[in-house]
Amino acid sequence: MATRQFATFEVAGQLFGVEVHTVQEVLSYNEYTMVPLAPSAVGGLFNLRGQVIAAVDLRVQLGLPRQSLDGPVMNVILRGDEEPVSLLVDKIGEVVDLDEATFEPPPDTLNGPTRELVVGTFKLEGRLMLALNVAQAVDTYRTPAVS
Amino acid sequence: MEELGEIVGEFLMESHENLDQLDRDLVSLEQDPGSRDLISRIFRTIHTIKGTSGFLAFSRLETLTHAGESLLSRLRDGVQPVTAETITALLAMLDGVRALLATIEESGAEGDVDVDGIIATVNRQMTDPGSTPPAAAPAAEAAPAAEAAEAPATEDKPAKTPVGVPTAFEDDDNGERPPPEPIDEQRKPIGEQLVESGAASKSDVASALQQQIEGDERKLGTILLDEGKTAPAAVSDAVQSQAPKRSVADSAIRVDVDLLDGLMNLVGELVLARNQLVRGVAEMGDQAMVRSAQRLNLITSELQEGIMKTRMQPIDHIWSKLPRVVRDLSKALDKQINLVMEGKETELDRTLLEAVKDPLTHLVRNAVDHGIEDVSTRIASGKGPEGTLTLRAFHEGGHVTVEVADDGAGLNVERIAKKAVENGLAKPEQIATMDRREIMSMVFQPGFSTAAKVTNVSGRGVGMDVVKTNIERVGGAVGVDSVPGKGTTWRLTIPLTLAIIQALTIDCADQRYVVPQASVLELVFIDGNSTKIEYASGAPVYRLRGRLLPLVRLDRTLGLPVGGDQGVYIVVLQADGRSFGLVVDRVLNTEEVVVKALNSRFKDVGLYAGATILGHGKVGLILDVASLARRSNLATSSERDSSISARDSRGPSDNAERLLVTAVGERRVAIPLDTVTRLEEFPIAKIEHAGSREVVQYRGQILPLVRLSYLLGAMPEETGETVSVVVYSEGERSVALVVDKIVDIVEDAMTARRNVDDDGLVGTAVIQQRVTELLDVRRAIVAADPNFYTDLQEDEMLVEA
Repeated sequence: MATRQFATFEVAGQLFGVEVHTVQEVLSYNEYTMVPLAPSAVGGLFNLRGQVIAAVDLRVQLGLPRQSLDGPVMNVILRGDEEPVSLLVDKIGEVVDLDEATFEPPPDTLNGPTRELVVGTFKLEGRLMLALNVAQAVDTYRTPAVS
Repeated sequence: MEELGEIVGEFLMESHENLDQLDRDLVSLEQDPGSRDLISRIFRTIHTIKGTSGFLAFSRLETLTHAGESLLSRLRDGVQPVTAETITALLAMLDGVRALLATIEESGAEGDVDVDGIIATVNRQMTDPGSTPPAAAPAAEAAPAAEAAEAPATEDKPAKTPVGVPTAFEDDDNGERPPPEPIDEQRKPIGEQLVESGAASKSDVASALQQQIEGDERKLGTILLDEGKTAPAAVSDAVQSQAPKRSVADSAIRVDVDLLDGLMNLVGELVLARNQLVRGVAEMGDQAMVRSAQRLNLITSELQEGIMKTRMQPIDHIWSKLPRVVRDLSKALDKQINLVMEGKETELDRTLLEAVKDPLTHLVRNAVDHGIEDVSTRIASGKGPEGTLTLRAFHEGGHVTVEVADDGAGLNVERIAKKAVENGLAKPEQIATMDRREIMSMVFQPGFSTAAKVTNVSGRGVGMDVVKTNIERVGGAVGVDSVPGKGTTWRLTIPLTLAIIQALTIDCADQRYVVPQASVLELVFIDGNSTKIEYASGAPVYRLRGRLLPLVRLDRTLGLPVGGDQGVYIVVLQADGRSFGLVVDRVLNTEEVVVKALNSRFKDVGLYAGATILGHGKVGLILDVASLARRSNLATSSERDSSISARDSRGPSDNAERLLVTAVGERRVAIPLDTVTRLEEFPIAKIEHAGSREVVQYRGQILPLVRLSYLLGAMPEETGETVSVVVYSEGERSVALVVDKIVDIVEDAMTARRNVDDDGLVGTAVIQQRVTELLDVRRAIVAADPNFYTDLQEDEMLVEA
C-alpha cells in the first residue's frame, strides 16, 4: 500500500498536515511587517534571508480571530509556484508516514471555512489529521479584505 | 583600435562562449534535424556575432557569418533539409570564426585568415545541397558520435589556429592535422631575450650559462646582474615577457548569478546575526567586545554593499557602445542621426542589464535602419535633415522603463497587417477586429519583417522576436507606439526585482515605510505654531509659500490609528504632475534600498511599489506615490484641471512648465523647476570663501554659490541671517544659486513671453500679473562653477572609452 509523508502542525487544537514535498522549511520568526489594506488573511511580511515572504494567517483562513504577532510565531514555509509563502500556525507537529488506506474524504458534518481548505481526513492513532489543500490555504483572496 | 578595446574584449569573451555552445547545438541538430528551437537558437547566435562583427568592422568575420546565416535561414524556413553535409559546412564555418577570433584576440585585426574556402563550401550547400564537401564526407557518415567527439577536440587546438582553416578541417578525419605550433617566442630563454634586446652581450650570457652548468644555483638574470653585465630593468622586462600572456578569457571571470544570489542571502543572514550580536554585546558592556562588534558591524555593512554592487550597474554600461553603433550605421546608410541619452545613471541589476543589452542593440539598429528616414526623404517631408534617436531610462511605478524613440516615419500599420497576413501570422478577418496598437505589436512575432530586401543590418525577421523573448524571460514587457510621420517609440518595461533606489524612510503609526526619493520635493516640519495644518471644509491643507498644498494623511489612507496634527512632518511629493503633502509622524533618513517586487497577492492593494529589507533586517513597504495620490482623489482633480486648461485652449497641461519664482532685489526671476534639485536655507555664517568665490560645505561637498543679484546686476535686498538658495545638481556636482526670496511655484502656460538679450536671461514672461525674468540656468551655473559642464563631459568620455 502506498504511503505519503505529511508534515503536521496544529491550529486551534486541530491537527493539520501538508505533504512534505510542498514544505521548504519550518521556522519561528518574530518580526513581521504588517501590510495595511491587504487581504485580512495576510499576517504580514518577513525577511527570510533577504527574501520578502508573505505569511498567511491560517487562523483567519479557518474563520478564526487573527494570530497575535507580538511574539515568535511558527511558520510553515511552502514552496509556492513563483516564490515561497508561509503559513502561520500554532504549533509544529511531527512528520508522519501515512497509509493511503487511512484516508477518507472530509466528513459531511464538516462545513464552513475549514471545509474549503481540506481535501480529506487521515485517521491517526488517537486523533484525526486534516490534509490541507495547499493552493486554497495560501489563497488570500478567499476572504474579504479588511475594510 | 584602442578605444574599441573594451568592446572587442567583451565581444571575444562572449563569442568564445557562444562558439562552444554552437558546436554542441549543431551536433544536437544533426541528431534532431527537425528541431526548430535549435535552428532558431543557432541562427540567433550567428546573427549576433554577425551583427557585432559588422559594427566592429571585422569584414571577413561578417562575410563568413553572413554566409552561415544565409544557409541557416534556408534550413529554418525549410527550403532545404538539415543534412550531415550542411552541418559539416556549418561546423567548418564555426572553425573559421574561431580562427578569426583567435587572430583578432592576438593582433586586434583579422589578419590574413583565409575564409574564402569556407564561404565557398557553405555557398555550395545552398546552390547544390546534395554536394559533399571533399574529404569531409566520411566524417559526416561516420555517425554523429564522431562529430560530437570532434567538437571538443577543436577546442583543444591552441588559440593560434593556423591559417587556412578549410585545409585543417578537411584533413581532420585523416588524422593529418598540422602539428601544433611550436611554443612561440613568448617563452624564449631569458638569455636569448637579453641578447636580442641588446641588454647583454652574447659572450656574457654564455659565460653565465656556463657558471650555471658548473653548479651556480643563482638564476641567469641574477648572475648577469651581480656581475654588472646588464641592467635590472632589462631583466625584469624579459622575465615579464616570459610569463605567458593572459588571454581575454583569463583576465575577467564570469560568476554565476546564482552564486551571487547565494552570497547575497548569506550576507542577509550575517546582517541579522550581527544585529543580534551588537545588541547582546552592548548589554554585556565589555569594551573590547564592543569594539570588535563595531568592527564586525562595519565589515558586514561593507560586505553587504559590495555584494549588492556586484549586481548593480548603471544602464550606461550597455549604452556606452551605442553611439558607435549609431554612428557607423548611419554612416553606412548615409543618414544623419543625433543620439540623445537620458537617464544614463539608472541602475539595473546585472542580470537584467544582460537581458536588455541585445534587445536594445536590436532596437537601436532597427531605428537607424528603418525608423529614421534618409536626408532627402526627411527634407521632402518637411523635417530637419538630422534625425533624433532618443534613449531614455527611468524608474516608474516599480519598474525600470527603457525607451528607444525616433522621430522617423513611424510604423506603417497597413503594411504590417498585410505582411502579417502574407506570413500567415494572422487571418484577414482577425486583422479587421484589431486596433492599431495590436497590429503594431505583431512586429514582435517570430518570422516577421517588413523590410523589402534583406540587408546586412536587419530585415531577416530576427530581432524583434529576440527583443520580445529576451525581455519576457526576465519578467518584463515590450511595447511599441508610433505616430505616422512623427516617429516610433519602443518601450521596454523591466521589473525592479533588484533595483536600488534612493529612498526616504518615514514612520507612521509605529510602522516604518519607504518613499522613493525621486518623488520627494521637500520636507516641512509642522510645529503647530508657526507652521500648521489647516482645514478647508474638512480637507487638510498646508500653506506652502503662499499656495495651498493638499494633504494626505498616511495613517488614515492606510487605515491605521489617526494621530494628531502637531509635531508631524509633511513630505511634499510629486506624482502625475501634481504635488501634494503626505503627513507622517517622523522622517528618519534617506538611504539606498534594494527594491524587491511584492507578491502578486498585494497587487490589488495598489499602494505599494514593492518592499525592501531595512537596515535592522525588518521588511519595509515602499509606498507607490502615484497611487497614494489617486487614492486621495488628487489625480481626479488634476484631470479636472487639465480639462479646464484644455477648454482654455491653452493646450494640454503637459506643455505647461513649472517655474520656481524667486525674488532677486526688486526683480522677479523664474527658474524651471525641473532643473531644481533642492531648496535650502544657509546661515550667512556658514558661507566661506575659496579664492574669489563663495562656497558652503554641504553634505560633505563644497558647494559653490552664485548670487543671482550680482549675476543679473540687481540690487540685493538687505541680507538677513540666512540666505535662500536653489540647489542644482547633475551627477556628482552641485551648485547653489542665491536668491533673496523664494516666492512661489507656478505653472506657466508659455504665454506672453518675449525674448531678451540681457545677459543671463532667456526671456521674460508675465506671471501672476508681474513681469518675471526667465533665468538662463546654464549660464548661471557656469558663472558659479566654470568647470561644471566640462568636467561632466570628461567624465562621460571616460565611461565611453
